[in-house]
Amino acid sequence: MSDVAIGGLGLVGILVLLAFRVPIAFALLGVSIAGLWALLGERPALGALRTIPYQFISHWSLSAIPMFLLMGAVAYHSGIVSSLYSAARLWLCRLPGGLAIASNFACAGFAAASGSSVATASAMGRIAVPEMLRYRYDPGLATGVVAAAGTLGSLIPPSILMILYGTFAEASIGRLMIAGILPGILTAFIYAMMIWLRCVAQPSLAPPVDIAPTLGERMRALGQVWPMPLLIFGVIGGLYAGYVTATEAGALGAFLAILIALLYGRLNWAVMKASIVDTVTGTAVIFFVSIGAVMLSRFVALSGVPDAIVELFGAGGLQGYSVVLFCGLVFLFLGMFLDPIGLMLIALPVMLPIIDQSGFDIIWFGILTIKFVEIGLITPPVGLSVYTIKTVVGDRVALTQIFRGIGWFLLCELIVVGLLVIFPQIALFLPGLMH
Amino acid sequence: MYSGRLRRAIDGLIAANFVIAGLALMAMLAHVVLDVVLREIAVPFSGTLEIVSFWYMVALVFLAIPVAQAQGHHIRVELFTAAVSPRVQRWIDVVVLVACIGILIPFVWVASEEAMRQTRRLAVVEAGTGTIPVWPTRWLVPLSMATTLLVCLFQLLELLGFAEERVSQAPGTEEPFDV
Repeated sequence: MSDVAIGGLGLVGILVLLAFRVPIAFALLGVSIAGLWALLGERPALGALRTIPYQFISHWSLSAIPMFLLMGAVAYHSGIVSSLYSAARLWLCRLPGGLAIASNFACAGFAAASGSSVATASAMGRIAVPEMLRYRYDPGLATGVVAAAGTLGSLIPPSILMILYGTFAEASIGRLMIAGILPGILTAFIYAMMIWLRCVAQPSLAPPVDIAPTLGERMRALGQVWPMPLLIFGVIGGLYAGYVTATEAGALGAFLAILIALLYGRLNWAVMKASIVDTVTGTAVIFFVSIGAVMLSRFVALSGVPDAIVELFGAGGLQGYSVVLFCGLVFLFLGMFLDPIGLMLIALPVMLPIIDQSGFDIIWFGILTIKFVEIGLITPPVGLSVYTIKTVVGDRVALTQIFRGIGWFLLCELIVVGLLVIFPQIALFLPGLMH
Repeated sequence: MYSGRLRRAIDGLIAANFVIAGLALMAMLAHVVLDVVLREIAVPFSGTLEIVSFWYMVALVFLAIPVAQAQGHHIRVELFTAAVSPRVQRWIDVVVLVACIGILIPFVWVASEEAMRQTRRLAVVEAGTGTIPVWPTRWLVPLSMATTLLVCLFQLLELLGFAEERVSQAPGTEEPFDV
């Protein structure tokens, strides 16, 4: 059997193992070791297992992940983020589709404290969706907005996916995160425009609400959210100025979040313990899969599968953007059953060598990758983020309704991805200003 | 009862892992913040990068992996087996656990060999003007994988009915806040 055939067989084997409920980390580890064994023999295969896991974990840049997880967990458990939605709804509720627009921007704000889209969607789903349903908002719109805007969690810094991407692609994590800011804001605004236009055209989607906040109430609500800009400034500002590394930004962010919770009188042992539990288990889950993924990239690279794919493109006369399209389709397919971390870590070992040869900007492709991953998670027939929302809302909204609501957001995503491909500057402008 | 004692031992081991991992997390936070602050007031302070990478991170990650295994947090795809009958699912789980154990055994073996090798050399990394020993944390890899192996073995015993299944702590019932 040729090396490429072994590689291809390995990749198919992973999908089969996953279908049989093998934990992703074990599937990646098992297939990689077996594959390396088949390619090179016993000693190199066990040798990889002997050294790679430790070397990989003791990467300085990866220590940003537990720090950002802790920051998001403290912000969530201490209630720093739940005030976001209350403020956004008071300011935006009078607009057509106001509560949905408020949820959208609250997700964007939460995204600046949290590095994960699933966390963003499930936290906001619990707060915002029940209220929208109470005001008889269209269930598709109410759930769709949270599932879609939740994906901003990975695009707007901090972002766990970007740290992993940066480590695997050997790209600057600080630049990646800064590159995510404009596309993230752009996405949030395009979502808001779409919601507004739809609700103007079809007012029954979002009946007007009976909340009539005074200016004083609005200002007071705004007063409750002041910690968020502080957190955002502390993290993004430090990164942008090149003053701190990603790990330091994460540690300062977590420290600030703890400090703010303390000042608000919301820090107690229960909050702290819940945050540490979330962070410790979250870290374990991410890194166990990552260890498997490093082994997989070793195996896939040695098998020559990426080169074979590049050759395939060359032979068919497909060039340039067809590579991007190909990557997008692969993410779409894998997004049907994988979570964001697993999805990205399984796909990257195959894709990065291809992108390297295509000459595209690695930061720009990183932003596109995050977009693709997140789109894959909300695309019918199955999407993991949609199931997260479904778990939160229970029987009140049918799965088909959620998917129908998401359709409009997918349209917006297509526009954003199109813009990103035509104008790479949307992603590259801000990091270009860094030194 | 025999299985009860075994469970308590494993629960204790997992709890200890969790506490040390949590301490490593908080130590990492404190150390990095302190480093940034001290850098600002120009006090020389070296070795943060090495201590964070080779001590806190390694301790946090490797001690936490068996904790996540014990609590059923490690990500897997439920989609394709959701429709299968519970009996078949149980047998799939048995086979999967045996396969996981099959992967963990060589992992523990080679990681112990490597830790032994690093210990004999008293491995260090250079940090600033001095060196920091890193050989002790090498042992966390085989330790972690061996603990995960134990947890998997116990879960296998539970599934096969040799140990009573715990009812209180079904995986997936907690709020899914982690990634």
